[in-house]
Amino acid sequence: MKKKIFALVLSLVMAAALLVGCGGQDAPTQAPSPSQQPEPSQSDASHPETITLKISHNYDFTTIPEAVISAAERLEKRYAEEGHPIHIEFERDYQRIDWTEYSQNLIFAFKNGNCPDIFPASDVPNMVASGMLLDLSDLKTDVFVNGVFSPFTVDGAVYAMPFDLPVRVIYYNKSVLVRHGWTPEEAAALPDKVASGEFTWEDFVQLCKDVTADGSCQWGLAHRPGNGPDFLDVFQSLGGQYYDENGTLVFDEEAMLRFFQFTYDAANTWEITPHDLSQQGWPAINAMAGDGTAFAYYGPIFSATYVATAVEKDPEQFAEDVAFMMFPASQYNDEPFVIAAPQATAISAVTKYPEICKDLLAELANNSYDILADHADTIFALSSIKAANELESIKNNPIVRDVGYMADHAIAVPSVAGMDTFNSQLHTEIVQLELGTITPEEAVADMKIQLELNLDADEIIFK
Amino acid sequence: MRRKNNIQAYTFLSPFLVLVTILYIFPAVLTVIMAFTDLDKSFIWKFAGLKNFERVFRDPNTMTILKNTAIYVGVCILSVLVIDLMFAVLTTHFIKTERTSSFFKGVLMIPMITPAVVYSVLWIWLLGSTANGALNQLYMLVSGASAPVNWIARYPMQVVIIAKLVTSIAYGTTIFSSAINSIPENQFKAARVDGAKEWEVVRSIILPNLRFHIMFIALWETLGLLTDYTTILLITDGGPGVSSEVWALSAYHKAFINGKYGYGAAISLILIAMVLILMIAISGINARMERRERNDAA
Repeated sequence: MKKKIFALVLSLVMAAALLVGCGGQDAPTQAPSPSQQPEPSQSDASHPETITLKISHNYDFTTIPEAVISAAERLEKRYAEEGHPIHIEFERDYQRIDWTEYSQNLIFAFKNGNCPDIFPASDVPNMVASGMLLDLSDLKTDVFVNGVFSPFTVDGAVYAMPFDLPVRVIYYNKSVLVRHGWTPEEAAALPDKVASGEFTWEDFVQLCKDVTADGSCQWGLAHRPGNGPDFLDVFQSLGGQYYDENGTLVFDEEAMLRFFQFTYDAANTWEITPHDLSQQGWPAINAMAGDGTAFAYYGPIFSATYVATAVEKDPEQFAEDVAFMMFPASQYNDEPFVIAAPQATAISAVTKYPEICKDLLAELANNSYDILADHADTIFALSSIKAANELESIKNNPIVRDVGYMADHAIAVPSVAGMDTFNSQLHTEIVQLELGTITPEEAVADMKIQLELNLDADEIIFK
Repeated sequence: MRRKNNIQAYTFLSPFLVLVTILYIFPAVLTVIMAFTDLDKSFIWKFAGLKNFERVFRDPNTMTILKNTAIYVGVCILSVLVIDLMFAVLTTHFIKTERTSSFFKGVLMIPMITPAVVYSVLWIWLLGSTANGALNQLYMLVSGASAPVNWIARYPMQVVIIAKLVTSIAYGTTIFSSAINSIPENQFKAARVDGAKEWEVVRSIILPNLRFHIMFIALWETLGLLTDYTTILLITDGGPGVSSEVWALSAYHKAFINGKYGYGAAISLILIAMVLILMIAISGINARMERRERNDAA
């Protein structure tokens, strides 16, 4: 009997241990109102209260979180002038991992009650669904470039502040064109011809074929090695539509077939793209784009830092060889365009200091945008703040100074649920098409069935 | 005294039981529950019934993935057993010098003790698709071919099988070598007195004595191969397409790449069921063999 009682007690101890292990703070699914949340108590000027905010970031360009930290110093001064001094300290958590993994870790951290106060919003639909983002709709947005909030707006509410405006463009090598017989002036004027609609996507593809055929370069067109949104820009150039006016994912079968046919032909028929490009790493591709081994490359303009580094050139030297143009108009797409891919900063719905965090982001956007201009200058991007684009640091940047006009053609893609799955499957098909192991028709059929299986019926529209 | 011993045993066992419950039983129960939900990146639990299992059986890639898994496990197991036995016999039975034998066993250990990431990067470098890839340099030099071969894309399954084989050899070889060393020397002497040749010694003395060790290695490696996908993930990531995707890797992709945790859990649950069936079948065969052996002895 005693043995049974002991076994029972042991079981209870184990159950209790389980509950203790799995317990902890339950993450609320909705943010409490700011008035319910603790803010620092009043303090006198000689004894400012110190608060600590945890700020997180992923990958390179920590200039954004550092801009937030710099803005805090200015905010502290303003608080002191207003008679409620607060000293803000930061606990930095900077990582360099895959973005999908990073956003999952953030959601895990939120569910475990350990979410940073300020962090990059990298998967807005899921972050909003999990209740981890503070609604920032009451912050002033008129200082921003039009349309930049689209990716961070869900059901009319704004959940993150975009602090830069990098665009995805086509890089092209001017020296390749000169070798092909163009004059340097003609080579430099190509972006203008694209902007005016005089030079189309079809002309561009033909040029890629021509420069490859006459040996001006080894490859006509290169792209990123792994999964990513860059491919959607070519898809869009070919008339593809991947989201509707409500921000719902769309599978446009006809345009997808066109895109897959282009991908297959580029690698296997025209041989302007290496068929093993996806097996090559970033260093090889960056070098290819920077040294003229490939005539053109499409990707975000901020990749120019990596491309220039790969060929050991400073921005001025790099700009002598490489220029940027928009995705040209095509027979399927009336206007040249670039896609804006801003990095945005969000606030945790369970931060202890929601008002201070919001004040910080507002300070950065409204008063301290010179720091954001420095960030844009560093990463070769335009700023999302209109006034910042007028500052010398951006106007004199050798890469950015010539692409300012692109802001007028920039399209900001709304936050689209299921985009990760779409991009991942798209890349799976691209790899096989470039290797020539499947046909475009097989790729369309496979992509369609995989999207049907991996996304819920309300997440995607089949067109 | 006995009761006191029991209390002591329970006291010593309880931390371990608590840990096993927290780290194994609780996640396992959670996985079973998760398989019947729509849990995704937003971490909202919604009951989905059998929807995830339906997805698995509707997916046209399921048959390819099953076939890949069968080929991967089957070829690896057969090859591992043959190679392990060969190395064990060579390094233990034929090489009589302990020093030389230990040297060869040590060399076999290197791939096993190399971290998976380093090991996989070495394979990627070796089989690089450009003319700079080590194997391509050799291939182009020897064959005079002008274009490199994209080895990993062209032979993905063969590459992952060979890469996995190389890391698996050391363990089985060590077990078999120990088993061969434990065979009483008089069995070998008797065979030699009877004029048995070396191959007959291997066939009639070594292999029968290693029967249960072979069973153990076969079971151990099968379980490992069914559930471990690290080498494939790092070298081919299951591609191109799904040409080297295996069942466990598919669960990983659905859960952690597509963010469909419920779907991934359903695939894992099917894998657990397959492993259980396999274990029961192997245990049955084992028990039958033991019974037959007892009957023969009687």
